[in-house]
Amino acid sequence: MSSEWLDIQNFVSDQEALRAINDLTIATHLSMAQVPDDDRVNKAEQARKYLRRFLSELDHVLQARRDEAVAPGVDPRMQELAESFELARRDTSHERSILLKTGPADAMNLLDASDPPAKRELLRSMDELRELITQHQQANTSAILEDF
Amino acid sequence: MRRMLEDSNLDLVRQSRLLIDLIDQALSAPLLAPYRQRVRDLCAQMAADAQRNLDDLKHDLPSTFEAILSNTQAVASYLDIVGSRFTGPILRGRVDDDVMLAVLQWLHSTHAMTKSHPFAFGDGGFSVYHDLKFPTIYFLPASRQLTLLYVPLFFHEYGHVLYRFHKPEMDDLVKEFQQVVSAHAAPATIRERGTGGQDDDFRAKLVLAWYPWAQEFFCDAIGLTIGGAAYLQAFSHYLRLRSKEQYYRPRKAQLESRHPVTLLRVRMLADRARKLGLTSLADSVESAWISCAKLMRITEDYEGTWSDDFLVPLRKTLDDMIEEANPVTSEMLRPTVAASPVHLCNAAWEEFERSQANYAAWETQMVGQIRRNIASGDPWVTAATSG
Repeated sequence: MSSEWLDIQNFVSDQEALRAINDLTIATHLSMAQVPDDDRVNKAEQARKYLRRFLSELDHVLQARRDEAVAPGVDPRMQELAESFELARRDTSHERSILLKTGPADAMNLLDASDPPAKRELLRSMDELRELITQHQQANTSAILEDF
Repeated sequence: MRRMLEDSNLDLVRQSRLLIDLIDQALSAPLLAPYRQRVRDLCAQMAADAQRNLDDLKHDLPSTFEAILSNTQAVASYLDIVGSRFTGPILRGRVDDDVMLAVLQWLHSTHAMTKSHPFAFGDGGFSVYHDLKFPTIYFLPASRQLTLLYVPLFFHEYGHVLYRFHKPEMDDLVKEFQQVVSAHAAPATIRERGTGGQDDDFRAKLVLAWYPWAQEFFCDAIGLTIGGAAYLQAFSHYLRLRSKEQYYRPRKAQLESRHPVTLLRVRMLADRARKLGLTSLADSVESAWISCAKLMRITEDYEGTWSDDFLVPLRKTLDDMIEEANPVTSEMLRPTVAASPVHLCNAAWEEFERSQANYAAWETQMVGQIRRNIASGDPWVTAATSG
């Protein structure tokens, strides 16, 4: 596959994660504001399933990279994302969410948050995850779309 | 902010619907119908996503705007990608696309996982775009779209599609092989370990590089398994005179590439071909590559990225991957009466070897025959047996 199509493939994979983050974020904000929206509730449920798998895979790759410099059997996109995650964790310049403070496994426990403080923590973790993936995605997008 | 987001999403709904109109108006080969429908569905999904953003904005909740903006950007990017990359095979459709589409239809029909997965082809170097969320697009140079000799290179590309469909199992097998590479490249003594020096860096990069390389070796094995001798012939002829880089690349260039050095792929292909009983062809292909290397004054050297210790584990990994993917094989096809592109490609190479002077006329006749047969629903039957 040419590098351009590889960038498209990575873009699509990142986009799937971003969609789940956004769907859960919007549904959580609506629920906190007590705005009813059944479609958003359904989308949030699908997003939770996706994010559970995604965070579990990220956690697995991060653990493997603690033993070795690279995690074998993992595609380069996930390796790069894990590397970005490790770099972000080392950045102590601002207050971080549970996701970056204690890792993806603890962030997974927030996905079903029901009380307002847990929901706020979930939103902070989702914001940081969106930021990480968006930065990762920008390199791919600029290679395939930003021609002018 | 809400107004800006509304404006953008209204435009995205309209653009998605315009793309649907363009697809509906295009005249393309009947074999492209599933691909065409899939791309149309993607456009309809983009329109629905943009409409969903508009519905979210109706709640007028500023705390949701950042996520809605991200969703808006997603639809805009998807629209650019689908409009610029995926509509091409539909909008550029030509009447003589039917032969290559028939080859791809046969290829996808040979495996339960791919038989209902939409596909198309476009202009470009031999390659494939494969992602389960999108239809698959195979690429080949425009001048090769009407010829038969290099059709077997599609079988390699199809290997990438099979890998994608079996990714978790394939990744596990590749992981085992990467562990072999990692152990081989590990520093010999405890004192040397964990020094964070150049050796550690090379080892990490080598282990990473073998992830895509293993997939390329697998795709070559798929090509050979499906196409038999024709694949080895096509691969060798297509690449052997292309450039010095097919024979040698400095270590850094190797580690940055998704493909292993082609000469090493030829070695592995020849090894597998002998196992399939194609000993004479394997010898002749290796000999041709070594002659070319000598002419270019190149000594075979993989700069530490390959060790003969890898041969047996890589063989086993490829065997396991082939077993997992379970492709149709040239051996399975041979005794049956059902003709296929595999028969035709092997007949084409035999004809090419027999008389290069007469080959073009033979091929033109065969392609014409296939085209006439497509309407009857079995493009290969007469063409293959005529070979």
